[in-house]
Amino acid sequence: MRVRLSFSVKINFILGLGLAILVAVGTLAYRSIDELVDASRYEGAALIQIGRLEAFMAQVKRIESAQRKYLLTGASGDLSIYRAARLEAGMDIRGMAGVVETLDQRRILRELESLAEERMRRLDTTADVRARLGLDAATRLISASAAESMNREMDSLADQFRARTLRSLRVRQEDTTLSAGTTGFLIAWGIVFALTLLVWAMVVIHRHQARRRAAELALRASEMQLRLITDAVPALIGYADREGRMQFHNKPFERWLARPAERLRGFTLRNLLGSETYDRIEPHIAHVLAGQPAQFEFPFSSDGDRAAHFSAQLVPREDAQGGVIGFYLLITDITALKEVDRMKSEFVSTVSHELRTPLTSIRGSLGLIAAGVTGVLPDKARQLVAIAVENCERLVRLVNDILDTERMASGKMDMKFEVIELGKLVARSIVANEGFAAMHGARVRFDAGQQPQRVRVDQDRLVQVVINLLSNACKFSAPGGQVDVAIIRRDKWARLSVSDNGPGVPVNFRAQLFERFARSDSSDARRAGGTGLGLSICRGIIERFGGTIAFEERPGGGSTFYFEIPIAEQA
Amino acid sequence: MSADKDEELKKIMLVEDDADIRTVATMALEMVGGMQVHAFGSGEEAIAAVAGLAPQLIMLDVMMPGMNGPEVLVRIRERVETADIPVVFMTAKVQPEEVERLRALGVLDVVAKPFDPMTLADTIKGLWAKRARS
Repeated sequence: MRVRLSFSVKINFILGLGLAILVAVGTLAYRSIDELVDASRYEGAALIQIGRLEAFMAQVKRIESAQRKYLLTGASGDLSIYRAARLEAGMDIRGMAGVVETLDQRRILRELESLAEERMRRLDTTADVRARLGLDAATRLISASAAESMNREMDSLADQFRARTLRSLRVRQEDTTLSAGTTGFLIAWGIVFALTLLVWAMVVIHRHQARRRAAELALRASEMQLRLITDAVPALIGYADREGRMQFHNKPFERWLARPAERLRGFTLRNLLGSETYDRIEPHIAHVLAGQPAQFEFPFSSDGDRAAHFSAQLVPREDAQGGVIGFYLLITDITALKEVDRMKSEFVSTVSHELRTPLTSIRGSLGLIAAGVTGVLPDKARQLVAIAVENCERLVRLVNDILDTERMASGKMDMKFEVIELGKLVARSIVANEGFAAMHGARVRFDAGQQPQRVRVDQDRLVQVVINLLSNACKFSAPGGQVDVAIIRRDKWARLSVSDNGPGVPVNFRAQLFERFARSDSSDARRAGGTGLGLSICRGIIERFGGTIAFEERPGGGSTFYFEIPIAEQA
Repeated sequence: MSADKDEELKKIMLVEDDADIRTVATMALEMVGGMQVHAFGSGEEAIAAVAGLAPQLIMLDVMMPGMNGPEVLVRIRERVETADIPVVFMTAKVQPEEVERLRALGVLDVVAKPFDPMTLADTIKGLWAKRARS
């Protein structure tokens, strides 16, 4: 598996390696220079040694020469010159002892020194003899002494010292040359390696920059694409920070507010929308800043003339810690939709009204005829009029249900919420439905439960739901059947169930039971004469109460329809 | 004009522009309820006749061409001799807020169309009795 290292890892590795090479090469160079300095110092010291030896040997020769001159002349001046040369020779030979390096050289120097001292002592003796006994005595003494052999021995020692010093110097020079060569070799390779690293680093940096440029270009292209999309969307898209300052907006936003971008970005929503509009939407902004999405509608006129309606969705933006740092805005112009909605409502209302007017005449006429007010009808005519009356009633219910459905869909069904006792409302509804139950030969049994359950509802609408469930149960019960109505408490919910012993709901119809215009194909349902909207309206009403409505099969046959609504909090 | 609260409801003025509904309502009130109905086809005709007719109760259609129900009500209330005659609106606009708006105009109640002809007279008599009790 090939491991792809990141740019920083590569660069850090190269820098680390380069630094290590630099330290190694620097150390080698320092050591090499140090060795060269040592070698140079040694060479100087060695040459000084040899120079001093040469000077010493020359001094010995000069002393001998001064002594000989004195021996020949016997002059006190020559004696003084001799004695001064003697003192000087002793100092030189002692000074040399501090700079020699090897034991062998020290031995030679010691031997040379003692030999020289012996030689000087004999010269001194000879000089004394010359002073005390004259030239002949001194000449005899010289002949008897081994001056020649001592001189040869001293020369030999001086040669040995010189040779050893030069050999030692040569060895050091060879060592230094080898070391300098090795160091030079390593430094050269270090430089080559460092240059390689440098090239590698440049390649890595170049590739990284190329990748970054490519990423930047891709990002810019993506941003441009996103900008084109957001600008093309027929909606206002924006983002504001916690203080409500616009940080992003699309072109439609600028057109909406009739402001250029530079007079929009960074401006607060209060400034952009005006205090009146902002005060209206402020609770929703507080809601989204608390971390909850908000959806609302508001009127706004950017040109101060045309009143328009807008739908806004605010979505919170959170940081890594979950704190809200701003919110996104999606605002759409719903003026046309509102107008369509208004026209639809008006249309439904008008159609409803226009249908009711002729229905009033038809229902009234048929009702009077069916009741025999205008005279007794033949049996067949009475039967037909009864059919007409029943279907007229059905048509009236359909008109009412369509109106309710439309009002519910458009959110215009106003509710007057109040806390009531559910059992009493159900009992009232059962009484109101008594005639209908009797017509279908159904008996209604009511179990209100042990404790009264208080719920917060719109009474009229809940009565509408209960009567709908009751009338359905009566319609579908077998003749002489019993409808059971019961209230029970389930945790924080009050549940009302209405059960019948009818044929039940066909399996393939159950999923659409609470949908609009849902109609079972069964002949029983057709005969029941419903509008197909009743249960849909019931669901809409119960959901407005914060509850749910459902259906279940009744053990032993029949159906149970029930709803659950929240128990009202105690005041 | 002030009606005696204990007297039986007999004389009704019906104002309805739709001739068919007018006929049906008249028959329902007269033949089922045994009342005497004076029917008019417009608000203007009703206003012209109301003072002379002195009905015990007026049933007034809301939507009529020319002068509508609420406008007729205002004119009736303006005249001292007719100001106290109870009025019942009839309307096919049965939305709760519309019914509330009409009730707020100071009428006895609002009867929704289409009405049941066999119970219409009882409904009106019930309202009349309720008014008498109050």
